[in-house]
Amino acid sequence: MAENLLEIKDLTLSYGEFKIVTDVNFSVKPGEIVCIAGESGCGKSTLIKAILGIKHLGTQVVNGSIILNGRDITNLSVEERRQILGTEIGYVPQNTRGSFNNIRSYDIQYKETLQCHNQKFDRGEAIKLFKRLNFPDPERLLGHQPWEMSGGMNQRMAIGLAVLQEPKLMLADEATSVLDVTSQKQVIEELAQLRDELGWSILFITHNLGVASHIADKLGVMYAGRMVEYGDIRKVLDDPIHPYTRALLAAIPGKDRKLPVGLEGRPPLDGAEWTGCTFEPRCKHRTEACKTRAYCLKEVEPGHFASCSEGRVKQ
Amino acid sequence: MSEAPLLEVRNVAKAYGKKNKRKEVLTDINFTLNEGEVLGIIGESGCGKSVLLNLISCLEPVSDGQLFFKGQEYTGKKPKDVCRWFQVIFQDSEAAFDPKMTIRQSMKENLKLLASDASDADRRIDEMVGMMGLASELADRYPRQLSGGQVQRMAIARGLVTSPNMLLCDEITSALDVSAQAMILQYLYELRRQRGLTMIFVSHDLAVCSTFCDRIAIMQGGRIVEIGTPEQIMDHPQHDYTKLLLDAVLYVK
Repeated sequence: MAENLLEIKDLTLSYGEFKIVTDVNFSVKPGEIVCIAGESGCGKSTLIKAILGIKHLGTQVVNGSIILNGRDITNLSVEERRQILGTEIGYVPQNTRGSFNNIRSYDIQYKETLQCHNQKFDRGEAIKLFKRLNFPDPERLLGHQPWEMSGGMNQRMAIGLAVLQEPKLMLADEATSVLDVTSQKQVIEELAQLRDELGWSILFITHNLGVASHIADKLGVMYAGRMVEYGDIRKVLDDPIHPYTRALLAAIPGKDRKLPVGLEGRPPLDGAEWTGCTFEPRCKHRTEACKTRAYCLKEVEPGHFASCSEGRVKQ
Repeated sequence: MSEAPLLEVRNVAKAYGKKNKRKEVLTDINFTLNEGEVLGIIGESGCGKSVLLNLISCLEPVSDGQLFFKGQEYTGKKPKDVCRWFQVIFQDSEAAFDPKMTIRQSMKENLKLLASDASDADRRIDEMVGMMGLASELADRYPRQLSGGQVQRMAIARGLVTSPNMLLCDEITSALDVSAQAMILQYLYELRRQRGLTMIFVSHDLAVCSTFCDRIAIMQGGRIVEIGTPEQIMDHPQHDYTKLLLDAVLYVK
């Protein structure tokens, strides 16, 4: 097996002429959970869409490559892609209300989905899986229809469907963001449990650093279409390097009940097109040079990358 | 200042549907709120926290119980009778502004309706917009030309421009990024400090509420199961549900 299950190399993505994501580099090892965090519009969902490679979503790969298990999957034909989606790459979207048919029972929809990927639906297997995931009343669940379920339960059924096909890599795009805190915690624990049992890799997209800190091994922080910091979760959270990462952490209300510190302004929409630093207009430590300095993700410490270390206080 | 609390909610209940299909969504809600106090209401989706705000602001009639404002009962009044006292701010403020009006025009409508003297409207709008940390030129833009956080701050400014006694905030930061959320919390905190603003702050995020509320009420299934200061709630939770909720909050480790 290749060392990296998924490898993203110099990836630049666009919608039409408009660049969304530039020069993203990272990799996911087998059995690893990688979180990509960032605020809305930073390009984190676009990244997932590109890995899925579903053409009509409009994401175009301008440059770079996506390598899954040693095989370049950047430009696959529709048929080739059908072979790997579901079975090698699983996907849990944010809005599972929209991805299930609301008025057909789960077992019919499970069966259909598996048929599309040339697999057989085994009811017993599904129930076994649900039991392992501590779903309440697994025998009855499959006969239910999505509208009868709560948002949390529906989300878990979507995870169940993705898991049944035993993919090696699971992509979860804000999979817990619509849930209440109690069901969010449950779903996260289930995902982590699956990782431990099946040795999966999960690429987890979230805007919630609290969620990331509970599940991830590695954390990437994105801002305006660029990865500004990447590394082991403990290193990034305990000793953040990039000014944006620090500002982001300061804005999260913590256990100490202190008022969080906000950040004026908003990210540029065309940030991916800029030559200089995209965070410069909002940055406390900006200098004239920031406007022209080209983006580059440097390895500041072993296994800890950042594109800027201005104003960093070493702990 | 009168001795009576600014707001009293006494044995309030709300039910929807008729006869045998009747479903109670709020049961036996009791609390008082003094002037200058900020009450956070926490609960998961569907627990009735938004309905409670609708009842207090008379957007919906109560099924049972009484509401008092400064000791005077106002149960059964129309929204236009109470909007001088309460201004409500919702999660999606872009939808709450008229898309064809500039922010300033929308705010003037409020003033025309509620202020006795609207001659110095522009000055009052500029002052309020300034208090929310925004440039007054931004008020001449249309809602879609502002970011989510800016629109939300404009909505708060619009609520406050008519000097209501109380602000009712319904999940106002839930749709925003954390950095924009933190900005709003800072400005609300500042408003509290300077003007002694009374507020009910409905949210599903316990961490957000604990940063600036005087008291927090925990709701579950249409009831207030626990109410207390952030210290009492977070450090010495009494009810099982509160404990469950506290356990589920994922802080950044």
